[in-house]
Amino acid sequence: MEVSDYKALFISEAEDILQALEDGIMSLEGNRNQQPCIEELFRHAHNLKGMSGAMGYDPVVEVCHCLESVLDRCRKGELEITAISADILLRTNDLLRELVQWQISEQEGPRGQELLDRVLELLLPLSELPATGEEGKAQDSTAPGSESAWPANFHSEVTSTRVDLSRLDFLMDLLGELIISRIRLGSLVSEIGSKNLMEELSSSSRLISEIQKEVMEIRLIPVGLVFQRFKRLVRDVSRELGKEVEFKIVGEDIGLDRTVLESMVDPLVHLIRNAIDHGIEKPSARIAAGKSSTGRIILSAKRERNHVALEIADDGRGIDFKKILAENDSGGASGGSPEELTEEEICRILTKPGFSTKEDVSRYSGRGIGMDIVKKTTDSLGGSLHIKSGSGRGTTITMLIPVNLSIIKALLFSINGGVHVLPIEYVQETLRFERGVFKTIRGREVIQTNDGPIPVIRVEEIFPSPPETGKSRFIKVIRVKTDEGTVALVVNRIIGQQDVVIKGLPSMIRGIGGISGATILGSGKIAFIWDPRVIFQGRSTYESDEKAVVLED
Amino acid sequence: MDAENITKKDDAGIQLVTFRLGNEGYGVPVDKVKEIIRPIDAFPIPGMAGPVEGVINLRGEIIPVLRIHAVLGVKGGMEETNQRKRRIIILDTEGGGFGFVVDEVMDVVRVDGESIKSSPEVSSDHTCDEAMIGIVQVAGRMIICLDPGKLVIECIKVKDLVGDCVKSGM
Repeated sequence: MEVSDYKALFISEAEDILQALEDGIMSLEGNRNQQPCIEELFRHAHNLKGMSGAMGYDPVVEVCHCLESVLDRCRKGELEITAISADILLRTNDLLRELVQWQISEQEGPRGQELLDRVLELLLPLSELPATGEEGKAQDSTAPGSESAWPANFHSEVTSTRVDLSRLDFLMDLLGELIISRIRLGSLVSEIGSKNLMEELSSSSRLISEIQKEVMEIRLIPVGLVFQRFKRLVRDVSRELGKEVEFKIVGEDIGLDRTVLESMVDPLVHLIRNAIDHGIEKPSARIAAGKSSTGRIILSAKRERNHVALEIADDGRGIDFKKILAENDSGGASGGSPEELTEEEICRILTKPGFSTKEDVSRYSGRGIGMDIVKKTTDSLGGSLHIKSGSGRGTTITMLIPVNLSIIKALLFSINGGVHVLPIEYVQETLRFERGVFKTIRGREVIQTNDGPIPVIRVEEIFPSPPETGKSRFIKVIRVKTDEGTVALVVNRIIGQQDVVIKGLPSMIRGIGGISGATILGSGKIAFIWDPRVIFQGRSTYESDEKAVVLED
Repeated sequence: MDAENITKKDDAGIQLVTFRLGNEGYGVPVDKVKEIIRPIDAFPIPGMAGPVEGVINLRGEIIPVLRIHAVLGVKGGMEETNQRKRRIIILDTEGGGFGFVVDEVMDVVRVDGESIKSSPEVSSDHTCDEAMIGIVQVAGRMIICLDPGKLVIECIKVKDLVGDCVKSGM
């Protein structure tokens, strides 16, 4: 191992330890049984001390040592962890983190000493140093090469490894190419028609699918890893603003693609700050409104088919629709009465760049930037943003994000010579009808199915395009189901089901209603991936008509 | 004409790839040109009228192709019967890569930055005035210099208009 390898190892382990310390300090607060927590903190501090000693990062060693002494006193019951000293410990951890970064960057200058002085100033009154003989010995044992300086679990078996994200991305790209090549091979093999070849190909196809599943799983990380970071944010922001907030996390184990999750951090930070600053009232105001003085913020993740719903719900004062309208009017747009606002309109106004109802800019929010970023981020990930709020009843903001961005199962079909792609989750079944079986309800074409009539959609109703001109005796129909309803989409030909690799759309053509992406087929042709939800936008609800009697002829 | 091997020299001034649209000469800075390819059919994008004709597959990358004649308001060109010299110029900008079909790639020329004159006020319905850097005379021929980055922005604006039309038409 090179020295630089040791350093890389140190960086990643130190990060983990610092995070574990922070989590541990946070869990001390409000925890009756503090003893195990303190033991754990002590162990983390000790590990970091050992590692830093091995690297020759003396200032870090000194701070860790001091922290150990403080924790040791807690452990012995000489010192009680009150909320105030938790504050100190958190600040210590922050400074320690900065100090570690300063060490890693190998910069010269007074910054390191300055950090060290600040953190010792915090800790020394608590630790009642100077070091005893025993602790002096502990410091000696941190010399490089000394075995006792290594963490106790050093010899335990290594069962996981860290992989650079760019290598996972590369693996994903390769897999995409492999899948395209498999599809191309498939069409060649079916031309030749050799049975042996086909069998061999289908077994390799299975293997490729397995690999694909594994790689996708590897890329998923539990949202809890990111959610945990927000505990600290909530604590700090609510303290500063003089609010009492209980923060709850639900669905930590839900997995989300790494890159997706990372790009969700900023929007979540913004939404949580908003919830504390705009949403949750001051304790006195809450009591006056007949609520408990402590506000609640729930951050949750929930899997919904191929999407994950990230939701932030608070029980605060809710969005003031009157204020929104007033603000919106002063911006020059026309308004209506608050009661007339639909969810979509609220969403549109709130996510307008520069929109803010906050009169005074606080450190945390009110600058009018943010909601538009939230919207842009969800849009760019192919997700959607939903806001629900009632005056006095709190606000719930949901971001619906696709789990995987790279490969999806889809149904391919053709209309007017072009190949199109529909994600399989929207396909209920494919049907074949003889021409002329369509009935109409108040002029609207429908087909009869076992579940009753469903409306017929032709492509020209979704995209301006020449009408479909199939001349065959049969009409092929895909039964498309979304949360908003079911329709029968008329197509020329159903090509079949396959995996498609989603390619991002160039910015120039992004944001077309009804198209969520594109893919390159085995033939090299480009096919567009549909977002069928657009079919239902702006369409009068059909549900009420659905019960109507169909006249038989 | 082998425009595939364009190299940039170190001398001062701007190097332009010049091309013909109808009877008009145009130029784009050479460092923005990613490559020049023989024409291939673009796949039309469902529901998209306006400036983008479709997309092409450039070695696995999806590249939009502009209706450059229509965007700039150039008459003729695409109706020409002789399409032998037609090429697609692929440009790389911060707003993303894109391409457009030109009737002929002419040359790579070096022009002095100062020799580019601002373009006269031509009454036009087209919105792409922003994308024009200016006019320069090269060997007795008028070359209209384009800023590819601005061209993208202008086209996104136009796209939004089209997008709204599509939505309201539904």
